[in-house]
Amino acid sequence: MAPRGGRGGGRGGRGGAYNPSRGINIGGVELNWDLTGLKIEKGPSERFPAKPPPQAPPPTAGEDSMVQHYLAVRDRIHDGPFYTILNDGMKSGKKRRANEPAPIEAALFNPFTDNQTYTSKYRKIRRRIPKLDGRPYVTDLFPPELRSLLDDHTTGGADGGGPSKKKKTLQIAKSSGGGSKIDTYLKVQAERLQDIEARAGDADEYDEDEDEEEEEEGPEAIGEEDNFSAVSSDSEESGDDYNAEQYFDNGEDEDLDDGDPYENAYD
Amino acid sequence: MSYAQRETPILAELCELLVEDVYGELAARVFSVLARHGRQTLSALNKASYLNSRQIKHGLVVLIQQHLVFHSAAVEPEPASYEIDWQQSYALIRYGRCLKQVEERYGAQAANVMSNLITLGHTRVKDLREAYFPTRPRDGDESDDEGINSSKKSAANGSLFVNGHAETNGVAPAKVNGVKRSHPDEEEEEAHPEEEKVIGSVAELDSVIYNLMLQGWIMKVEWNQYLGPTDLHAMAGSEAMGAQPPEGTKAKQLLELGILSRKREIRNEWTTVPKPRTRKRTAADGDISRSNKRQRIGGSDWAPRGDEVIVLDDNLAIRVNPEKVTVALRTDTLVRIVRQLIGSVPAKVYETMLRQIETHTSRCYDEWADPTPVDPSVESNQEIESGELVSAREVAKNIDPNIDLFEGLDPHAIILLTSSYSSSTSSEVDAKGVIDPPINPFTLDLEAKTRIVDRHIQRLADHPFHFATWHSRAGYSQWHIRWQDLIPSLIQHEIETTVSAGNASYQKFGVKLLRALKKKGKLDERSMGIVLMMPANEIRSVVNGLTVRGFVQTQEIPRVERREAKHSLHLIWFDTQRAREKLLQETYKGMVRALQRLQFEREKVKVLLEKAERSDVVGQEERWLGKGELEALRLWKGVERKLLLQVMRMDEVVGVLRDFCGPLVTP
Repeated sequence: MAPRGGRGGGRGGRGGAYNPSRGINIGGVELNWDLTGLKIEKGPSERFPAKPPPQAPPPTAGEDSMVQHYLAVRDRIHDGPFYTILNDGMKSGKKRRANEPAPIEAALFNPFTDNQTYTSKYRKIRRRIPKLDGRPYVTDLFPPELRSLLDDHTTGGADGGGPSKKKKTLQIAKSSGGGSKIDTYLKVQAERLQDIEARAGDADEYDEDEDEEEEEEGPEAIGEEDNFSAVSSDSEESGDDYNAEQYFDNGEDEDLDDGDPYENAYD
Repeated sequence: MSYAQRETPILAELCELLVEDVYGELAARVFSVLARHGRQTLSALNKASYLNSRQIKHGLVVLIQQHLVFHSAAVEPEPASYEIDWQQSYALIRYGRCLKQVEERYGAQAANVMSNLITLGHTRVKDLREAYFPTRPRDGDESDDEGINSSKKSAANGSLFVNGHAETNGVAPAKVNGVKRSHPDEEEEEAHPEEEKVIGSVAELDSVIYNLMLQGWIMKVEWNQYLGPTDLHAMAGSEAMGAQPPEGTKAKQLLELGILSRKREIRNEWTTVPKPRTRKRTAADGDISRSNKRQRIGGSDWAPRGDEVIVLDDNLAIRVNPEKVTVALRTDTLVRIVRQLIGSVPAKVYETMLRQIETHTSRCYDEWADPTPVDPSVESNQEIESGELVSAREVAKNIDPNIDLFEGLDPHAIILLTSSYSSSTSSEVDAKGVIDPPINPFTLDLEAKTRIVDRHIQRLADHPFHFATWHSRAGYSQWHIRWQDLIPSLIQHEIETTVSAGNASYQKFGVKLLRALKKKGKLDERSMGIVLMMPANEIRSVVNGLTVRGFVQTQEIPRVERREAKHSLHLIWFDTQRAREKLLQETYKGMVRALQRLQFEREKVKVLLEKAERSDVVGQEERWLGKGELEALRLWKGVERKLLLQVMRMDEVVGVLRDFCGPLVTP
């Protein structure tokens, strides 16, 4: 709308572009517009004026609760038995190309953070394989070739086959509210303390079973992975009470000396 | 292949990211192999992946439990093939949305049940009961009561996670007993009235689930839900075919129709609600606001009597119905658009209308509908089901009474609409447009309210999008929504919004060009200039840009034998379906970028996050983390929220572009 100043002056040699008494002068033509009070820029315009990127509008209440719910559900899934972190340096599950060697342990080792220290025992343990036998399934819906994983021999089945050590129960949350994570941490910790005392014996036996199973199948990939540090995680979840119990049960007494404290940790 | 099941590379990338974000790396790796190679058997998966067979099997179990993968075990058990369910995999991003919708509509208890169902994938009712109310395997009834109460106490005291193992170590108890023995803890509720209301008894849990099933949010799990589209088609085909394959075109067409109707039957079977048993309500069940629920059930022909409670079948397997989430998303999107385009009171009215329709709508569009007749007059004669009709009176009854219904209406009209009923002393409008004496909008009788509501609905109907369509005079005025017209307008609106968000020339001419092309069909440069009433060279750059972005299609038709460019016609046109798909792909891409950014940002604070979730730091962040670290954590949380928010907003666009109607075929 307002012409950039300076042009008229340059051409006509008449001095300032705008003189209120004479009107405005654009390209040598005098115009009788009253532009009192309007500030006209006379200097050369900036070549790359700062243009802030468009900002997204702030969330509405509904959107906020949507994100809250998503985070809450995701955190719960991460604490549940299905969430896994492999941390084997691969990007996808596809087969490696022939010329692409498997990532070696040394390459995955971060000398700044991965060194084992005493306080490493507080770190959160991540599963490398989902824990499938802790909850009941509708077994008929799975293909026969996978059913053997679901009714594990260590438990008697939810329908009451024989006396089982541990009953399969779903992990649920009774409150769906997306309470802040710190609140949940506190509660989880209190509960964890009780649980550790309540069932120290159970977990030990249970772990042995798992380990045997792992040793049986021995393709090269597993061997490598077992040496990887299991403590990494790239997510920000709350305490996984389940895991940590297992960890505390056999972690402190035997493992710290032999280099890999996570040998017996959950997978 | 079915329209919704088509997969594109960018969608595969998006779903991989989502699966990794939610279910971790192992599931995502297995998923990525399936995404790359398509339908595979277990042994083929083993061959195609670097994972060992144990890992693959475990990953598959996770994916199957969460319905992210189809398998063909029911029709060809050895070997079963696995295939990705793209719809469900994408729907991972809608977890939060689904919970928000349920919470808005049915309250916190229902949202809690839904969130557990989402976390668990699917489950049997008895297992869910067991998880909510762990029972001790003992004989005496009294001791069982204790068990229930104690577990409930711990819940009410604020522990989020129910730890079944601690309390239960033994055989699963008889399930029926668990039902009968449930006691609500009245003192508990009195003690914590301000806390979020948790589900207090098995009866309450059952009634919440049953109510959600009636509304269509929860559905049964059946083995044929795990069949991929091809398997389902084959199965329906063999069932519809009979003894020998059809001969001749006519018979084949009939078979096609038979397959479609068979598929619809199968699908409707999933959402039919099994009639539950009831038992006499005991004093122990407490008041679970049953009257309220019965009223809401509405359309069902059966409802429990006031003195009975519902007992669902123990072995009923249930899951979240993803189609209902889409229906609710459609409601929310439309309400938002109405709020933007017309105003907040009509939006409220519209919301009330749509939610009423929602109860009777199980899906946005029927993928397996019979082909529409070619003759348009037949279509217009089709009966509209009573569930799709809403009368102004119903809206007036159901609308939130705290809304000022007069907002946005002409004061003269208000007086006209209310005067004959409300009072003998009629009000007048003074020069400033103020009604004198004022009429209180909150104390209107139903008749006047109905008229006012009707006026708001008329505003909706008058909008060029025709958000509502008049149907008949029942209940003052009865309305329905012509989805087949409304949704394409929404899609067009979305495309135009995207185009006009570009630079200045797109803003000025892009939308104009699109609309002209949509109306006129194929144009060459000269006629385009005439239609747009501007010189062709001014608009050329816009055409060019839109062509490159894929919104405008081009065609070259030679006029002479030698195909010289000079002697050819260069036509441009606009195809809504193509533009829609293009925009959909771009939206997916945007979501992928946002999620990748999220990963990157997480990588930046990885060490800090690890520290923050150490078991000694958790809960004592203030003590063990430095000031800078706390600040960084807060920043990270803000970044995560913001990025997820953007992803959810893009998800809404995906809903508009993909989920609300089938492919738009131009005749």
